[in-house]
Amino acid sequence: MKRWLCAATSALLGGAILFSAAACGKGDDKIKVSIGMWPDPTLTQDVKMYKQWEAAFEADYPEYDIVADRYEYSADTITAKATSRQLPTVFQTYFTEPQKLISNGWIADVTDELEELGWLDKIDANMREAVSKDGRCYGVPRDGYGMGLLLNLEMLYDVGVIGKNGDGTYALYDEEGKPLYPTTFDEVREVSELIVESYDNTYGLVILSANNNGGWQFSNMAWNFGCEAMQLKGADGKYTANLNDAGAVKALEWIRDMAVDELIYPDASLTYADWYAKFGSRNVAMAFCGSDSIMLPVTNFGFDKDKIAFVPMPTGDGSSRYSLYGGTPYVFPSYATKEQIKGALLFLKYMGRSPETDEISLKAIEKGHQTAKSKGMPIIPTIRPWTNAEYLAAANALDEQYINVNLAYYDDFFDTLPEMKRAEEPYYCQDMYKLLDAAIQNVLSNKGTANCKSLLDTANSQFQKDFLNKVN
Amino acid sequence: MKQANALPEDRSSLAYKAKRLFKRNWSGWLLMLPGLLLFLFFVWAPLAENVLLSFSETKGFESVGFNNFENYVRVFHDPMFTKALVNTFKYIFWSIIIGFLVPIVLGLLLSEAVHFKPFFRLGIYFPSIVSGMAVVIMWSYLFDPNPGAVLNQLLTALGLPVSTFLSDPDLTIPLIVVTMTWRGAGGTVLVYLSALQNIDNSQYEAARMDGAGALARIWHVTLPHIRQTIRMLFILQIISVFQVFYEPLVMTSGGPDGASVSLLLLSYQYAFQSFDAGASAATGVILAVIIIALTIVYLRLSRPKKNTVSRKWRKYAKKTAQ
Amino acid sequence: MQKRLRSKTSGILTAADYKRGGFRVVYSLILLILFVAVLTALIPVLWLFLSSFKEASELTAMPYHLFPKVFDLGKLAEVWEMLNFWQYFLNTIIVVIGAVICSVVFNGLLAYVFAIVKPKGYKVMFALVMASYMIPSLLSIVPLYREIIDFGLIDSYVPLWFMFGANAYYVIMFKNYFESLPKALFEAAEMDRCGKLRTFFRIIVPMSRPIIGVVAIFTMTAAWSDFLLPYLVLNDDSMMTVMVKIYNLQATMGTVQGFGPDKLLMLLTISIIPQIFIFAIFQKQITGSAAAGAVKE
Repeated sequence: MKRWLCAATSALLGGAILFSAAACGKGDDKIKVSIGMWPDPTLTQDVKMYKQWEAAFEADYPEYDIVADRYEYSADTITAKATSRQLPTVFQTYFTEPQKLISNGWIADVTDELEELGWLDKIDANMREAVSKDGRCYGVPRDGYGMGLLLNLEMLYDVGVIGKNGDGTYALYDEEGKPLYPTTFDEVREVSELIVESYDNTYGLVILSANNNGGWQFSNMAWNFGCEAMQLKGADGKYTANLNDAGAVKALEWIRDMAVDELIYPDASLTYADWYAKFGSRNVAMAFCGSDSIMLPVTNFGFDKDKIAFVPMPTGDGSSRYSLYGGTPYVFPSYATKEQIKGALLFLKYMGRSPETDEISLKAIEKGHQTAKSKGMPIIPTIRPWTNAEYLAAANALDEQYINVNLAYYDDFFDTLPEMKRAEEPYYCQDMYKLLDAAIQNVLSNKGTANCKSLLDTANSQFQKDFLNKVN
Repeated sequence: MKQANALPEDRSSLAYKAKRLFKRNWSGWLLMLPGLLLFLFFVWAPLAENVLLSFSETKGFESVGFNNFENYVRVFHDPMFTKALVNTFKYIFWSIIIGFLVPIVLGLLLSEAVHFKPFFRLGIYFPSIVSGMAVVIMWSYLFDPNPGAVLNQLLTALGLPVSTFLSDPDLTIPLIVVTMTWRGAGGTVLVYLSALQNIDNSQYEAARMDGAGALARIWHVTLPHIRQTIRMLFILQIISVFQVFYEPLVMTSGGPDGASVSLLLLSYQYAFQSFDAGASAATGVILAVIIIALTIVYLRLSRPKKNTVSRKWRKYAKKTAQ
Repeated sequence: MQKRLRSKTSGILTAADYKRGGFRVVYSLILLILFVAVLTALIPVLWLFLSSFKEASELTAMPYHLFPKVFDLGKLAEVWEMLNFWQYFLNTIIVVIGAVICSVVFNGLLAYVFAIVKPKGYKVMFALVMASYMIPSLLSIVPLYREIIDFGLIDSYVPLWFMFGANAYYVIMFKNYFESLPKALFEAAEMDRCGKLRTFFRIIVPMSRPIIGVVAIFTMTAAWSDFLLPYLVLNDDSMMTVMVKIYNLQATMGTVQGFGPDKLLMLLTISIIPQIFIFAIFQKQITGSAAAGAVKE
């Protein structure tokens, strides 16, 4: 027993020392650029694609060493990662995050590097604003998304909401060209009623409610019910919380009534993975989601891509129609060196994520399409982060080659997006979403008894006190 | 030993005393040192720092100056905190009702079974080998609130009304405790079982001769015998309640509307989701105060009093000793 | 049934009681409750096993079917291979073994000093340890985490091992046990001029197997399911434990293409399989140590 213990203890201590030694040592004079958006090892095709990009890049820039260092951004881990300097040289986040990351001093100002590459002025203005502070730019947008309504065409056809064309495709419009799909929240409710009547244990819609996803969807709903903004800017430049606006209350009451009448999925803690799970399993016929993740029911649930349509967000009050517009930027930790950042930016070009239109860039974009195609994914138009004409022309030409869905199912969304798009609320957006999550959860779990106004009053005063007052 | 140390030195000199003190004690302290260092690193230093942090304004994880009780005021005004505080007592309550009592009962029943005993023992222990995260995720899928999902179908088949399970604020905490118990009970049952098997049979005989019924035997012989074990497992149960963290994190994210958030989870959310280390530290300190208060109450209540052991038990014990 | 009951001579109820019909009903009830308990223990795992062979869209499809349409063992192999799950098991085992060793050695040594060596001033330290009796170290997670960062222990198993070396509860369990050992032993050791450390390993440890077993099994259970600290400390995918990896996959499922809930459930099934083997091999030791946890009055 004793010998065993002694041996084990010393082995343990020895191992510990070796571990730390191994972590410190390793001399290498190459500039290390670690890539946070490196795909999960489970996605073998994507990994292969990244490896090709890595090889091409390292061949052209031998002074660099590209390292896979997958990091999926989450609010839970960013503090830890940033304080312990464990962040990769480049990683993805959401447009709601950069302001917080900037004010914590965690991400680097890349204005000069972008200027030098000639990319700075080609960034889409809205997106640039999301990653900028005081005129300085702290990130490179990857792409954008607009929120819309995802439809299960087969179910909608079966309950008689939409029709069919002669060629077997679904008809989303009547003879006069008016949409048959729901364009108002009242219509969403009517369709839900039809669905619930026709199928067992199936619901019209899924409403998210946890991990800030509830608030994210809800802010769009509130706008469309007539809420001017959830954060009002006064004449003095000060911000006032407006979470309990009449429009927001109406939106929450709409959710409550849908829950009371058992028209939405009866779960009060649904996260992002759940909308496509419920949609993909045909537990619901409709879901709100971003245009950048329509493929998830297809890739993860084997949903038939030809039975999906994506239409604009419905309106609540008959006139307000907005589409929450967000996206994904690449950002760089503040402790990364200039050389590392430059390497990371150049690597973006090899991934086809830059405004460049040389052969390398175009091949990379095409490679992305090919990989998506071989996985049977729906390839739909994307919302581009770059505005230079030659890039748009080249990328659109490639898109046309690869788009594999019936664009009639998407036209309305992409046509109306330019006028409907609306950026997320400016300050402490995720914290606001979190407070809204709680109100939605309350409504979903205390169906009959919830008082929407007072729930939003509580959220409102707390948001003002704990967050907006910090801005003013 | 003492004689061997008797050297021709002035025994009353301070230097001699100090030397003797050192000689007698250094090895003991040296043996304690590694353990104490670990306590310092993992428990005491973080705790002390946490107290400091709770009175500080923070940026990231760093303190940037004192701000008195501001963190505490902020935390106390957060409706989520009030919920977490109340929930802590709900967790304690349910984990006593479910997590603590169920294994005692199962242990008693199992010790009485003569048929299929190995099968029962293995079967009840089986969930303990599943890793905690797998258990939690598995149950969150089982608790699908869809009326057509598996558990609701079972309820319907049994003639019970369907449930929304974790989405029902009154059921969230009990169901989370059920999940924890499902995994944890097996090990505890085995502990009770072996304690029960250690009981000297002649005491049961004595009780039986005395005309004690089955319940009286449990009360006067069985329970006093496993009292120590019960006490130990009770403390472990309570400790585990204060560590409830990843169960609500995964199953409900603390919801619906804070109905299952625990203080530890809230403290984590403050630090790692709201970037508010000060509020996180304040919550931690409050939790520590609660734990210390409960520990004192517990120690007061459980202070061994002479007359707590039932008189009858003494009688039986004496009889068998003779 | 009758026969075996007649031979039951120990316990609360014995053959004498079972002569009366009423107790036989009670006994049937006991068996019934135990059957229900075993079913409750086993059926969810069985459900998991069946469900993990389903397609993602089958999982919650209505009407609900308990059995998958196709039973394709290839899926098990596919997910196993896709994730190289052995790695995470190996990591977990490394964490558990280190934690058990640290827990027994450090808590045991401390308790030995508190119970037997008792150098001057030990009471202060004992009081400090007692004070942290029920306080989980995760309660001060921010400062603890910062310390770990400052010591450069991110992506290292060291903090995960050593954390189990500072557990007041185990110290007290050890201390109570050591105090119950016959005093004459240590006096004899002292006469032999045995060093204190040698006394510990030569005399205490061999005599304390039951309590070491208990602490070891408690630590093992705790370390196997330890989550928050491993989650914060182990960032490198190749170092993650089973708990952390499963959580990560679950938490990021919303954005990972090609990894839906069906694969997650299959992963959970996979995570149980090696544990079943470990359990089958060490069944006696595991249940035996759990049993040794019973404190004798």
